[in-house]
Amino acid sequence: MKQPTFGSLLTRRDFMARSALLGAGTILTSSWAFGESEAKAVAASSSNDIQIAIVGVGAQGRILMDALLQIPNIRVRAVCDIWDYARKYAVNKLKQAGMEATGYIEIEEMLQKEKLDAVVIATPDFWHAPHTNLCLKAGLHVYCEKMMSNTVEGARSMVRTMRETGKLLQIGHQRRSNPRYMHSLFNLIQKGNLLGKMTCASAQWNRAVAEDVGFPKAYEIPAATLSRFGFKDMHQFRNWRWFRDLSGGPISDLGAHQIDIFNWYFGVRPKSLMASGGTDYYKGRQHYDNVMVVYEYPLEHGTARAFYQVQTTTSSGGGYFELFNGDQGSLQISENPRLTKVYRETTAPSWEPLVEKHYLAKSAYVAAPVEKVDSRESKPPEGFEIPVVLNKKLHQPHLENFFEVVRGKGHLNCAADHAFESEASIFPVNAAVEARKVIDLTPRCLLFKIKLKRIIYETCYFIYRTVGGLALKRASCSCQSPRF
Amino acid sequence: MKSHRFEHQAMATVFEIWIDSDDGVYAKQAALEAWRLVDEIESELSFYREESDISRINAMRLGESIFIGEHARRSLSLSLQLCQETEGAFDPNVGHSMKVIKDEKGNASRWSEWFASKKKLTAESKGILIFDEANRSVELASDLPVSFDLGAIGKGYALDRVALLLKVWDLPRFLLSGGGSSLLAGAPPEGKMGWEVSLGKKEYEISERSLGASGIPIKGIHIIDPQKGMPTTRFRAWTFAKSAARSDALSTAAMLLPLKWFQDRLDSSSEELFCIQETEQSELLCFGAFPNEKRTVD
Repeated sequence: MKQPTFGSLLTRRDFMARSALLGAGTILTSSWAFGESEAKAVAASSSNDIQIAIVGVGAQGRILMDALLQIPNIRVRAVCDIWDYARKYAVNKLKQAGMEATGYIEIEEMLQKEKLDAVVIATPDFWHAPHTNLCLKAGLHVYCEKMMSNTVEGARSMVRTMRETGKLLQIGHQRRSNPRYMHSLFNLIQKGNLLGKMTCASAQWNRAVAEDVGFPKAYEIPAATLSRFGFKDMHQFRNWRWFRDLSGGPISDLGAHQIDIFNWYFGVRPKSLMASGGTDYYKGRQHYDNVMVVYEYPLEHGTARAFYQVQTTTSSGGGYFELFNGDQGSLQISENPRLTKVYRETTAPSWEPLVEKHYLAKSAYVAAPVEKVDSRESKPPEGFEIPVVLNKKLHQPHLENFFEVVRGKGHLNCAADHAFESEASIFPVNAAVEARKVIDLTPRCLLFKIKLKRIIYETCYFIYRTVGGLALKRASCSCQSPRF
Repeated sequence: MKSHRFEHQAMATVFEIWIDSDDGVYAKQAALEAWRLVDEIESELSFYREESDISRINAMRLGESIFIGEHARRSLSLSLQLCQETEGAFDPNVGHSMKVIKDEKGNASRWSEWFASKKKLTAESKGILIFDEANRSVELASDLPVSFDLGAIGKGYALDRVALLLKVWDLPRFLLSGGGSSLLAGAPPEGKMGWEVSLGKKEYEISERSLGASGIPIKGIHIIDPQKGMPTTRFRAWTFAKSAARSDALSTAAMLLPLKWFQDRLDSSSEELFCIQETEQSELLCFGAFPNEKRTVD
């Protein structure tokens, strides 16, 4: 993918028009614009509308549906969910938005009856791979929420099916399409060398205590239906994120987003990890309610370490963000713009050239030029801001990127094979906690064949040194298959 | 039955729910769903989030059209309707628009120009925004500065939606509060006539109705009279209505409207009731029939 380039100052209207064409985020205050991308020949619907279905309209499905309703020429023809409550909510909401969508319980029936171009999948993690593979084989392009699967085998099968069918598979690491994240990586770090040598990183997601969720009594799913779809009871259905057979737990639900940013920003795979965690607060939950992990990244100038914590007992302590440190500056970035900041080391070269290029903007207070020493009240240090505004729903740019590629324009920002590379370093974390060992993530196996170019590169690296066999069985992180 | 209380921070205030139920766990689960809904609504209505529908509308230009969500569409539509009902006393666009004009232009003639245009728009029932319900979009129909802030209706709107949710959960006995300035009562607690609320020194029992309150004792002078371009100094105003969104917005309007407006409204079939307190020392001036008065607090 070509990186974004800077052009002349755009008016807001210009930018809106370009955003609509390119699926970029809306940026009001900078001269930033996306460059032309190499078009990928993907067949799209003959009409201008893309006909889609949403599979899974629980909490995350609703968020995606709200974002989808902001995108022109997307017609939601069907929703699929085993829960009447969620399905009726979605059908009703779509009706109010002018779309007559049909509700289905069975995805097979939906695929048989509906004429679709693509599906958006937001089912529980353990259903991602079966649903994605089914839809890809039915000839549909797929946008699937992250994690790709609750098992590495499931995730691998999705990449394999994507390649076999030639259909698109975008994974919902939506920060990869967030213009603030893209600008920070491509322009500030890579072009502007804002951080100098990147030496370490940290990230966290601190989330407040949340009790188990329930359901309206009138909307209990029959036991036979629950069983058929892999759930023990309604409690498990509603709280599937805490069950080991159904999901990866908080390190997967929350951490995956941010560890993906470590991998993306460092540009290399971590070479090892060590982790600790436990089920220390919520009694009776299967997954760890807090996990802390340290990765080692082999950069050109040496090893950079990245610390990540996810905990589910307080929202204090800064909420959720990623922080990258270098010898010339630091960048803290988050989906929350108020948590996004840059810090310059006093020994670093001036950032004025970055301001002139509109890579950075000066904060409201600007220190006077240092021409002479002026004795007066204390002045604050020079402040800088990232002049990028995303005034769209957080998942919207990533969905827009997907649909633009469905229309044959550009590249996916997080195709399944790239997502798999990144998620491969997340799958082993729970097992590392259990094993209480350092895990070497040695690249060795799972050779990818890239069609046409025949470029082979390594992706999976779950080779570990001295861990207990039972401990790592659950994470399914061994390289048992040499290729997709 | 026992009354269970839950609270949640949103919209720069504290929301509270009291649910009368034998099943505390079930009530708590319902409250969790309610808070998720409040957060969803805030994500569309917040003036302070760059990606909210309101922020995106505030960044629009004349003739521009954008998609907006259900909550933004409903609450904005109701806001503009109430703006007309109250002859501009409730105006979701007023406070920040004035600030924008004053800060950026500093030109008094621009004020009068803005008011004249606004009145004209209101008179023509055209409004500043044009809603396309079928296309879920909204178009900006004015080149005047817009800066919508639904702070005076958003909490009430959220309570209305939470009330619907609690009925789906088969929990009809509840009292909802958005920061204390917006209340919505469902069915009364078992064995009682209603949920107890106080207006100044009086306490009342309410059920199946809402109560909105505005005033200056806590937040200071902060409500701008769009007719005069000046802040109001009326001490407090309360409004009873069926919908919390209406009582929330109308209580703001009641801070500004002349007493004659309330008297005229008594002649209509409106179920809305108003109480005005001009100064801290003033007695309540009430227009309409009260709910069950329980007692006067000395």
